[in-house]
Amino acid sequence: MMKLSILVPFICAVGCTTSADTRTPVAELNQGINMLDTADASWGVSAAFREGDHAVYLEQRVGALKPQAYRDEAPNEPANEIDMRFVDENGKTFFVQRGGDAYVDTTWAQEITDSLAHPAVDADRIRDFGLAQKAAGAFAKVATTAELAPFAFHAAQFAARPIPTQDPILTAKVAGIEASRPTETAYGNYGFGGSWFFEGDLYDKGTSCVFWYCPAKHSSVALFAYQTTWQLAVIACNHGTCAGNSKMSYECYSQSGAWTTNANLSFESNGSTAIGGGCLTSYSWNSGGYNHLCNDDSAYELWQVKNGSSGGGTLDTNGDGYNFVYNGPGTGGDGSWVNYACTCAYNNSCNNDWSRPICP
Amino acid sequence: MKKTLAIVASLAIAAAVIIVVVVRKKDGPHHHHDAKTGAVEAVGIDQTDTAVSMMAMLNAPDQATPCLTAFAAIEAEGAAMKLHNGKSMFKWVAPKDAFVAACEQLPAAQQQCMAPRYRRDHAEDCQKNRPMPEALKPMYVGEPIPEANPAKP
Repeated sequence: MMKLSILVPFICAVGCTTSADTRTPVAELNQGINMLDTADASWGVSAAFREGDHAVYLEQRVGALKPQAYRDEAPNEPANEIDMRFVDENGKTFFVQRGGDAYVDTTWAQEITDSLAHPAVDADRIRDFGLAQKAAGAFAKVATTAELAPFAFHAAQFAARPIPTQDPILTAKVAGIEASRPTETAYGNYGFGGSWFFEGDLYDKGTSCVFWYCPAKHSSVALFAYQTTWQLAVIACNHGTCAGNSKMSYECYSQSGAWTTNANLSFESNGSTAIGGGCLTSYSWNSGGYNHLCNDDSAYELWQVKNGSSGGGTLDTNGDGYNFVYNGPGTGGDGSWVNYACTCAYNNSCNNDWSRPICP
Repeated sequence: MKKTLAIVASLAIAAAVIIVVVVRKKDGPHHHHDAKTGAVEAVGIDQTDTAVSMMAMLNAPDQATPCLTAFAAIEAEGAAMKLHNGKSMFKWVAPKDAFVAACEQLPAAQQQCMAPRYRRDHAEDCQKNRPMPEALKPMYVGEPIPEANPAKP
């Protein structure tokens, strides 16, 4: 019996895997791309890229099927919402792209928040982003089978865009961000990972287009966390094409304005430090009930970047995070412009939220 | 006897573990599927007016020319919206003869972009090769599109 009680847990342990389990130690990786786990394309993929004595890990997970309308409109894009992230050699996530409202692998959310608590040395993080770009390009080159094509698509999109320290949109803002740094959060003068400055960039594209007429817009937000360099990027695809895709145009940005400590990258929440999440109510194009669509997600994400939560003083709320309502340019509820909310019933049907939001 | 049984049982379990390990090595790790990857989470979108309009137009059959294909797509959109009891994305559409005649005044490359599937598959080229609004007015008028105010509040 004693032998059985020892062996049963052992058998169970053999049968279960986590993301961390599939990350081969750096020393055991080959130089260049390593396809660690590509056996089950309905689940996702894991890969690693080694250059010298350093490596990054690429992980993708398959989520819900996109609506038929999105699949018809963009047949070259993956049929499913896909989450993608890069993890450094210490297990810290420094880039994540979320296909829908929540992460497919629910363990990612906490791991991403944990990454903010223990940021990397600047030079290491800049190197990681560079390695990630090489990893994505190499992955896209070797992932040539039909089964791996959806993963190659997102990797190729990542490889084609600049890393944060070389992105002209971001580098142009560093001086202004540094100038806003309070003296008490100066270099080496902070605890618990220090203070963070958040930037949210809004990207959009016309959708449902025929002829030269696009009756609606899809929007996506790229959130960047800055400390003394860009440490973490979170792309919220909001169910459709992701920010950074060549078809998406940069429109405007929102910034946290203040430096935030103990930041928590969550979803719908009215916590004062919850940043970056999307709406978790049902998703619907006609967001006239207790539901939302991509532009409501974008509005929510941008307001969280600005205020640290949806419940800031400039928003009408019903006392919880997801019932936020944005009522127009004056933010005084004048109703003169398009409306956004995660629960649109509280906002008189959220009329016209199929246009992109502004950046608060 | 009991000792022999215990040894046999232990050996059997050990053999089972070895088989599991070997099979797993061969098949790769077993993954926990967190998502319903075959189901549409955002299913409401396919039932909306804009989505019904677009899908009807994209799935309309090709005709002899891009301009005829464009008009057939508009007819398909109208029929789909009647069935759906929804609102068309077009405020006004010219009668077929006038629509096709105006369409055929466009340069050949722009005529191609009038066919919805061609326009979808060549979106960048078609966007660059946009006709003047006056050339499109005799064919159709879309419902107004609300634009975001670029100014910060």
